[in-house]
Amino acid sequence: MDYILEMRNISKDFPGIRALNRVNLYIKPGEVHVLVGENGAGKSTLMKILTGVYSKDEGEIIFKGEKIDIKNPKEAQNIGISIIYQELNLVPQLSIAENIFLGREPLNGNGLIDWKNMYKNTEELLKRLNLNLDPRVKVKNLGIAQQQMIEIAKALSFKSELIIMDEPTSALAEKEIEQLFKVINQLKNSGVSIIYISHRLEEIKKIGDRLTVLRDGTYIGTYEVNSLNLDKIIQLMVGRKIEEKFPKEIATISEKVLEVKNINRGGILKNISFCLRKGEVLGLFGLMGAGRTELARAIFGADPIDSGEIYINGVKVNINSPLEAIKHGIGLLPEDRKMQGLIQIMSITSNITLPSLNNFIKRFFINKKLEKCTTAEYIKKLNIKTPSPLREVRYLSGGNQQKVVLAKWLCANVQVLIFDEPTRGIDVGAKVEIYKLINQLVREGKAVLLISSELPEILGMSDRILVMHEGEITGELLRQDASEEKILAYAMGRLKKVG
Amino acid sequence: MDKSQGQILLRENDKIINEFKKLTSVEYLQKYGILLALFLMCAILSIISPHFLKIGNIINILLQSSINAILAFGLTFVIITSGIDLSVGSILALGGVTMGIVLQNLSNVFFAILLGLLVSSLCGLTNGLLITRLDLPPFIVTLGMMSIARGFALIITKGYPISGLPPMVRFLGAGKILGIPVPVIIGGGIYIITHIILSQTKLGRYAYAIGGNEEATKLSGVDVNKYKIIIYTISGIFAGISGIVLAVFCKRKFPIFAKIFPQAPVGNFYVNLIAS
Repeated sequence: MDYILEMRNISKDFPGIRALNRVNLYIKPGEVHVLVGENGAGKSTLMKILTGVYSKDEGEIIFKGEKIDIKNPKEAQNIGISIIYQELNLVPQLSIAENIFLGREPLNGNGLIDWKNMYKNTEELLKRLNLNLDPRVKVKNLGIAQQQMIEIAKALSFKSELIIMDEPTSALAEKEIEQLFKVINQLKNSGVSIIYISHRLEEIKKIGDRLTVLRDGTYIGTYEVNSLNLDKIIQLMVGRKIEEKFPKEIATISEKVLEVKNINRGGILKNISFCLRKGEVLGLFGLMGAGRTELARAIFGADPIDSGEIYINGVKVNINSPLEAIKHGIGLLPEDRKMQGLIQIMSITSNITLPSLNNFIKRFFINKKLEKCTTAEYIKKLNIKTPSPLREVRYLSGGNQQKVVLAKWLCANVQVLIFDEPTRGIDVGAKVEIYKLINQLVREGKAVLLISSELPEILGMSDRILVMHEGEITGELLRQDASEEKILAYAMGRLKKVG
Repeated sequence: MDKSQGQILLRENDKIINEFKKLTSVEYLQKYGILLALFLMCAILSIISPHFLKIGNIINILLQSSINAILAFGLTFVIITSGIDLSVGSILALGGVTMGIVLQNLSNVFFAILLGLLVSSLCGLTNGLLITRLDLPPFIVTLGMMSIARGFALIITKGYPISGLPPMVRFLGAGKILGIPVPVIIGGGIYIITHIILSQTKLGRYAYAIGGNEEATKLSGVDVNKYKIIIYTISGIFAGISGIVLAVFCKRKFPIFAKIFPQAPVGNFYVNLIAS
């Protein structure tokens, strides 16, 4: 048996999009196999097929030499495939042992829980991971890293021979990561295979044996990690089609619409000044915690500012609430579309007209006919895929939901649009559509502030780029001067613009 | 977009539409299930008892439930914003008692009703202000108001029942128009007003939006606090109206005690209402 797991020619279609197209994944016994790809490349979909969350449309899965058809996650667990998600699935109020044996507690002859046996088994599992913990301790008293170890112990308790780890290090500190890697190496030596999904490329070189690259739902290839350098990995992930992915058009850039001067907010935003012109896409990049979203919320009046001035079309304005921001022609497409951008249980129509409902009021009553006609226009203009304007937005895909948020602001006739992570969690095809809409907006003379943590997106779509680091604007670059290296240098605070 | 792409899109839309239809049949049951249960209950009762399906009996049921109904209509606003108002029972008592006291001393019907409504709306307004300005949970605020309003009702009556309401008021509780008791007509009128506000006006739309997602509503430029205050005030006013109707409905034989109005049946009632 060369491989413990073979996934051959796996395809999966979702309405309107092919999420996976004939993807292969071959895992050797006792190896750490890294799965890489950009957001939306199909990594999660592939793993969900493997663990029985989704069913595959085409292809076959062979596990330990046998062709299998996994129908649900429980079945996957029983045959020895476990997954540890980014968000841990533990019950904080229960003890370590109770968590590990949740739903399959060992029983004694009387039909009661056999605690002695349960604690003994848990101790053995913990010992295997070199963890010195009492099985009776409640999980809520453990740190994130230890909780993750408990998840691994749980996976081992199923006698898993294949453990999938989805971004296991995203919440861990340096030291904890080392501990995790030690455990991974131990597992490896005892013959357990690991599929390791990570965005942190440096880790891949440290822990990975082989690597499979996915891009836009297609299989790019499988390589020995040692044979690749980081640049090569990035190139394989991104491909060379930057132009196709970012169909940027330059619009005529004219007068200043928005200008902010010396905005401060309790250590989170420090002396922020910049301007935004009609027809311009101003990119705003920063690493996690740089203050990008906070800046957007401050301008939009969602969070209070300590000091600073905001000018709209050259006139100083006071913005203390989103209501005032909207009156002055600013709209925000928030980072968390589901929780902040939309009211999921309301219809597309009600969502679109919410900020501008006053325009639809005739003598106390909502003019529903006008409302419906207007909405239908936006549905057509933005190509929102829906059978009816009265459909609740929760039934729409991520891309279509984002379009509804955009329609909301267009309907309120705003001049400045702040896009905070507009394409997060949206598939590749819909991303391009959103970019094309941004092109259209600036062509019509609107101004766009594009906040993103994805460098290619910032580079691909911006006319000008601001870079933030720890609440300050550290760099400003024009489209033609910008490069990933320069932006990252500013974002990490290594470089700072003068003056 | 060229022709073939357009056709693909159309086909996709068809797919979504089919999916949509399937969903609605399930949703249909969810939405009207409780109403169906009500009809089923009526059907069973009609079979069991020959007296059930008589106009007299139906009117009697409507009369008995009209006070609960008015309370429930006010609560509906609050519940839609995903809030809760536990104080309606006490506000009902305070509103009714206030009117009664004024009537005993002044015998000006309109002034008495007005004052009853004013007091109850002030209770609702206070609820709204505490919830929004101090950012307190509605459960705690209205629980407090429940005791406060009940306390006031006991203070102003000194714990004694009120009797001797003038005949003009009694018409509100015991009178009939075209054979339909006045409380039923008042309840029906308030139902229509509630329905129109919720389905046709800005206030109604915002109420649903706040209940659906308060943060997103705020970020859409809605003055959420303002509308929450209005809604708790409405709940107070409606409780006051039901208090006044109850006060006169009871006539002399059943003097008003400033006691908390039973919460449980009210609770059931508004849950049913919202679900349907």
